[in-house]
Amino acid sequence: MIKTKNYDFDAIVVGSGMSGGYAAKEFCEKGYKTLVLDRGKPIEHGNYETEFKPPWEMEFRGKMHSEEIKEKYFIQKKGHGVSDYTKHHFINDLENPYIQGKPYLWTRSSKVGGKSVIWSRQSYRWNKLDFEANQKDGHGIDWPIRYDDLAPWYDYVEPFIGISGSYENLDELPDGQFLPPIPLNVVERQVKASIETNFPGRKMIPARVAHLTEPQPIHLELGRGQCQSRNQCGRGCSWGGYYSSVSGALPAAKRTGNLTLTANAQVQEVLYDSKTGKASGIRYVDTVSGETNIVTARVVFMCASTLGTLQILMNSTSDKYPDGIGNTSGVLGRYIMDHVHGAGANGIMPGHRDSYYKGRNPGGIYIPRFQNIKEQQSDYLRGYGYQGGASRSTRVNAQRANQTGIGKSFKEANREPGSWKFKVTSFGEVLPDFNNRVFLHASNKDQWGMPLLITNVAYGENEAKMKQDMMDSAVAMLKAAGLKNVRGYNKPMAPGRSIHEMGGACMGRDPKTSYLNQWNQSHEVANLFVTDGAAFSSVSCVNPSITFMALTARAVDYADKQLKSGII
Amino acid sequence: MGNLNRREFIAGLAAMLGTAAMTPGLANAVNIGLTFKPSGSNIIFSEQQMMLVARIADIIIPATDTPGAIDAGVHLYIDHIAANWMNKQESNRLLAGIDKIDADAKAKYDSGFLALDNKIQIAIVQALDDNLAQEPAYKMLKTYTVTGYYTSKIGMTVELNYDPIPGPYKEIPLSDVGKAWS
Ligand SMILES: Cc1cc2nc3c(=O)[nH]c(=O)nc-3n(C[C@H](O)[C@H](O)[C@H](O)COP(=O)(O)OP(=O)(O)OC[C@H]3O[C@@H](n4cnc5c(N)ncnc54)[C@H](O)[C@@H]3O)c2cc1C
Ligand code: SF4
Repeated sequence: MIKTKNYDFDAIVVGSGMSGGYAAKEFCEKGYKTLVLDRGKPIEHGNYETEFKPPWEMEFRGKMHSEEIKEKYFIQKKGHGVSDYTKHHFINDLENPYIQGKPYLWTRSSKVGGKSVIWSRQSYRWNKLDFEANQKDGHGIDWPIRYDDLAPWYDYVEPFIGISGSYENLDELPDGQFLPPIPLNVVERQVKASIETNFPGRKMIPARVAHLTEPQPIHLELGRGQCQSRNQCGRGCSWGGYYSSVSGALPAAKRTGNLTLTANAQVQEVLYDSKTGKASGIRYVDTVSGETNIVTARVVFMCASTLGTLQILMNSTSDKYPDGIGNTSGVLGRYIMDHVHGAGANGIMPGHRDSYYKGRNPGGIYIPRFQNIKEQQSDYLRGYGYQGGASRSTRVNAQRANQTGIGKSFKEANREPGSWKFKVTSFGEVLPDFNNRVFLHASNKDQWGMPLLITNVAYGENEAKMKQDMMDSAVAMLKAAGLKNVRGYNKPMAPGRSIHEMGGACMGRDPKTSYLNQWNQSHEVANLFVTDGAAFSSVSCVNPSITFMALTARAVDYADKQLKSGII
Repeated sequence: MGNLNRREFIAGLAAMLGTAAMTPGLANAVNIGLTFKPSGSNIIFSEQQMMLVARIADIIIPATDTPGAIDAGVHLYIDHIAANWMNKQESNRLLAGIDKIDADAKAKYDSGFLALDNKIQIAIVQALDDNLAQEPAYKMLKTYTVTGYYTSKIGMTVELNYDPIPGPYKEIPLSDVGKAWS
């Protein structure tokens, strides 16, 4: 398609991460001249600075300096995945403030590709129940779509992303289009057998992860290759062994010749044209030069990660929309959700001393939700799943130094791999709550002039009860499986820390109570779409990113039809 | 440790300990390139403290059929960590702990730790180690000796099995590789 007259681009996508990358790929492949704006610094696939660094080439052998944490990563370091090897992929907390009305740990990326570069690659479909839960128990807004609306779009995105997994035929965790699973090891098989015998209705399966166990032509032609099970993925992976926007969607978009990608571009506002009643484009600040730019397009896709998207939308004010573009209802910024996280258990499996493995498993195991599926069984609503796995501890860690022993015998004992440990942690579904919200500070701004976001989000009683059960059930299963020294944990944890934030621009049927319609399209501004986690009306208990991508692809397909028929 | 280079340092250590304590690892170390290169920033140990740390690290992880802590430059690593990574409070605790080991030796044997007979040195470290939980300074030293050694090139590639690019994850019998992955 030739660039639409009077516009700089056909489509603008804000954000180049999990959702934005996919939107860009879809628009570009359909022939639209597409501009992707990302606040992050540029990143080059195949040029990840710490990828091949062994510990002895790191200044402090991979330990982060406490002063550096205090100065730059005081929020990020409290969350997942930040180490000396990966810290440059996380945002500098000092330079990017926000206000915690209530404690909230906002994890953000610092580069193009967003959090798709640093994610843990766990990829599960939602089930039928997930889309019906709000309607059934009355919490939150009823989704305007159901599983069957999305299933074809999972089918569409999964092969491109490349997800390894086993076919299990479970209602609670629908199968997808899988590459071969990463095999369970001997201890995982033993625990699985015990759980499935002692706890009827529960299952333990190989984790479904976005790793290329058997790359297909669709991956190879993009330069992606087989995963080498190094499990150092957060540094970046030149093999493209795991999916990221930088190894997958962005190169696919680029090869069409339709992509323009601008890094260091902090989007501040979606511009509204009162004459047409549509979004006319974007205002952004070049964070290097400080210059303000305006670009126009026929359609705008918001994919700046849930809270990032909301911040921009709320800052997009006009006479018509003083509280944020498309926000006559006042629901923008409401129903912020993050998973319940921070409870589980671990233990030691005696025996199997002569079993070992080659490679570091980047996946592990998954125990799908088993609570409240057919009927309400517990004193809380909805449910959770477990992730984890078994490995033999390497003795090379501080704990090892806690054990006594010196000299030749100590050294020789350290050559034997440690005992088998099995551990699980869990993610659970929170209830959507109107009062959990984010909004903008009236006057405080960041160095580029963007109003600061205030978080006012907290877990409730349902979450506390669920979390207790996450620990208790884990302990029961691990004990039954014959593990020793079983220790359960239930740590206090602020939202955000679960790194799965969603909501704030929820999809719904009624423009009075929701922000988007069933196509991720603003109820009020027809050429404005939100396809990241902000669109979510509830959160299931599975990791969300694959669903972000499925919804994004579906929304682009719809926008394409509307563009072609001249409706937007 | 001032301007003393590594070769001189090791030679000095060997002279001080006498040939009895000259482990193969120590001998090798004179000829082995440093695996850890301090970035030229601060250095915190006095020469005396450096010798002590080296000797204790060498007792915890001696050179045997494979190189030991000194070969891996563990003492230099601990100095670097203490000077550039620990906070003041931690490094002061470490320095005081090192000095105390020496002072205790003087009180008991009328001689500094380094001048003691090899066997007595080992007995002192063994006693500290048996009492690990009650000996915070020694425990710190041990922690950094262990992490320093097993994150060094020698510790990771010679002592244990280094496998930077394993290929697809699969089960194997331990006997296929014999020892732990680093
Ligand atoms: C350590 C870790 C592990 C995780 N593990 C998993 C997992 O196993 N499975 C799973 O499903 N999910 C996981 N997640 C979550 C997953 O990373 C996110 O769900 C996903 O990346 C969100 O996609 P997104 O497109 O909304 O945001 P992102 O991928 O974060 O992309 C948003 C992009 O928008 C840009 N942006 C933000 N604000 C602006 C602005 N004002 N102007 C311009 N650009 C802007 C950002 O720079 C960023 O590049 C994990 C996250 C972390 C941090
Ligand atoms: S585990 Fe696989 S995807 Fe992760 S870094 Fe290694 S090769 Fe890449």
